[in-house]
Amino acid sequence: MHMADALVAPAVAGTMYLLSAGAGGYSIKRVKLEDEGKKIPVMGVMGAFVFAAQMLNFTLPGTGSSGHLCGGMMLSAILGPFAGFLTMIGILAIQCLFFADGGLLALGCNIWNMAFYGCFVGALLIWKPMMKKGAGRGKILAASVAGCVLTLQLGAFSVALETFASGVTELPFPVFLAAMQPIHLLIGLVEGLITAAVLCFVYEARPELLWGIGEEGGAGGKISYKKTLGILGITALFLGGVVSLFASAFPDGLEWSLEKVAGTAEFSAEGAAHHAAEKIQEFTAFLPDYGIKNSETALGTSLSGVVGALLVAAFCFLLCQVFKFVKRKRVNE
Amino acid sequence: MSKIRQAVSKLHKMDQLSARDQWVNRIHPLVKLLLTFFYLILLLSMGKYQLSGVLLLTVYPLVGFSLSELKYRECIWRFRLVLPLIFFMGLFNPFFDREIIVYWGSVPVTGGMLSMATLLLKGILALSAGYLLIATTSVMDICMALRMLYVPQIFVTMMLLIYRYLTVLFEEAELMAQAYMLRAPGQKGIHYSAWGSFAGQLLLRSMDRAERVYESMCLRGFQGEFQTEKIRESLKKSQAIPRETGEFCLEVKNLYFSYHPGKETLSDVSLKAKEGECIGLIGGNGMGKSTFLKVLVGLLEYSEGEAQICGIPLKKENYREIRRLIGYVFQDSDSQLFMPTVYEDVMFGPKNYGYDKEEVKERTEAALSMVHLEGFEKRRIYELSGGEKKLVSIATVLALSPKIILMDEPTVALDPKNRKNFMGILRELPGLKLIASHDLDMVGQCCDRVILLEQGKIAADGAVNEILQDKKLLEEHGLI
Repeated sequence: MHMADALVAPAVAGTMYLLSAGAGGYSIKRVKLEDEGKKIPVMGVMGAFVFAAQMLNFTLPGTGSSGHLCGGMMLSAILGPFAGFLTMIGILAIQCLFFADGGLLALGCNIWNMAFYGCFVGALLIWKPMMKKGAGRGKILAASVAGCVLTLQLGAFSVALETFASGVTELPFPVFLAAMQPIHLLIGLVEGLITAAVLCFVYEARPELLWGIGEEGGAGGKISYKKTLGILGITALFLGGVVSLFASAFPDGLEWSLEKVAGTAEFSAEGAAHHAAEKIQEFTAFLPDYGIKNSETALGTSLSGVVGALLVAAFCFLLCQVFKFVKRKRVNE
Repeated sequence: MSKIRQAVSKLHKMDQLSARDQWVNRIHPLVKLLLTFFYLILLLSMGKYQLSGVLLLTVYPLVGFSLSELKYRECIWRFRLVLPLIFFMGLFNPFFDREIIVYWGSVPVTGGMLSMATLLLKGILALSAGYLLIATTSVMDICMALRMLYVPQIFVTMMLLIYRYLTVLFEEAELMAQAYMLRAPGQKGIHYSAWGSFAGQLLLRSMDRAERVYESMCLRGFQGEFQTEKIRESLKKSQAIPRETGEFCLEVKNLYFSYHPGKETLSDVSLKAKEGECIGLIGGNGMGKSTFLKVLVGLLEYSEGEAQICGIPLKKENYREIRRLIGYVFQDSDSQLFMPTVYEDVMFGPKNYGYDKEEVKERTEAALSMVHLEGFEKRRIYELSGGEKKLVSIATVLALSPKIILMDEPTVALDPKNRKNFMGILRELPGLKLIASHDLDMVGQCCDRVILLEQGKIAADGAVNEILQDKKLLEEHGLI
């Protein structure tokens, strides 16, 4: 996921430097190294560990591609989000300045894409809430996989956004996203499993080394389940409502390609089955093509994003209830 | 496991390039860093169709490579993984941007073709500029330039530590992998079911090592931050505290220590030692030798008793001053050495104790001379043999001119030649020396007094010949 300099415009690079520097400055303030001098070498050695782990690429079966660990989730599960973030900055700066892996101008982007999400989103929104009532192998596995998948998806999304905003590619944004997200879903899954394996080992051997286990509050910030759900909900609504508005301004990649190649994006199909399917679709789709029926307003697009996010949330909630029900039934038996 | 060795060699390839004695390498690192930065901004500010402008900018890396005698092939080989990605990004441009914007002769060139060529060239030039910087500037010089740009110290320290410990980690990983392969004959690599425990074990070993590194840093005056002028001034004042040194520079009275309540590791230990004595501390495994040494430097806090180092009570508030007077040489040199080069590691202590630049230099050179390592200043730590590392570890301690030197198993892992060399140097060292060791032959040749520890208590204390010739005593304590 390391971005090269050629993929970012100076303005985008500068913005991302500022954002990353802000997060870094805040982390320095929160870590309080003067009280915990011991943390510095621990961070250094942990950094070397993650650096070494990043050098080992793993093959993604069936994709012809390979991936490597980001390590943000693993670092923050041991060091906490702030020290973990500072360590990740150290790793990325070394890769850039001593090995030319990842661009010098793109360093701000790389810190944001690979460190910020893994350390802050992964640790504060997933790891800590899941571990606050104690850890277990299952919980560690779930938190690692969920954390790695989510943070890599966010990182991949940011890579696409930054490259697109830099104007270096003519590839439509949705097509670029469609290429980036699935591959990073696989990488996230593999990283999640490796992270879980390592953290489970640490949990069994020396559980006191893991961060945030059994802490109701603490240095990482007091974020309850309700708050977490609230933040996730607002983020989902924001993404659904605002980002979809932006994304929808561009035609879908496939449609665009069809328009260029065939001169039209609309292909017609004949036959009774097709007509029947079309009628069912017309009846059920209250927001066709991500908009209100017979309306092409931005409001319609935004609304469809929000509704989409709510539907996904409702589906997740339902799924959780089903799991709970099945679990309760098993316990009663 | 050649992959691990390859990784280590790849890791230090740039080190070797930047260590060459070229005039480009001697240019101030800040100049090179800023030049690279501005070049990248200029390069990336070129529009997607400005191929001619980008072509002009090829001059910088071409001239740089030529002046610093770098090979293009090595640079391109290094970026073989990044370049295809940039190529992939540009590959789609000709398909999506088909508007003809220029004719080269009679050949029409579309916007997409032009932007693809510009992107590829930008990619190659940006990577070359980065390579030029790192191949002509050492790790320490880049760190120094970053500090001059007011990059927070924590990042710079972190970068140095990560860089230093990469080699150690790879070495540990290789050892673990070798041990695994010996117990899993016929396997091509580590089975995926063992990945978690393998990586977890490596992580835990790394954490333990981190603790020892921290201890070593603290013993040489590290307080979490590099020295500012203000801190340096306050340190100078603290050095001026008068000390009353009596007949004995080490006095310990009825000392107790325990790791777990109710189970004493050190029990009722008392001893007095004069400057110039060389004392061998012997005893079986787990008898408290290393613990005793750690208590004397304040790495562990005793629960009862009294101890004075050169007249200063061994208490937390005096640790800083005491650690300037008492040096501790770790059993594992890799725990003691954490800077990239010999010179930087030896000067770490004096620098942290606020000595001015000239004195730091003098102390560093004098310490290296005492262990006969003149000319080793620029050597990288990872390049040193086990014996050389041990001598550098001793030099790091000598740079603070300690009155007392403690050594934990100093001859472990030394071959006969290095052991002999070490013993010669040990005899020349000034001050009181207290050496915990199982090497009775070395103790017999170098020490004049021996203390035998048994279950945390002093079982015998006497002249070296008296103790080492008492076969019955040694047999009783499992030493022969």
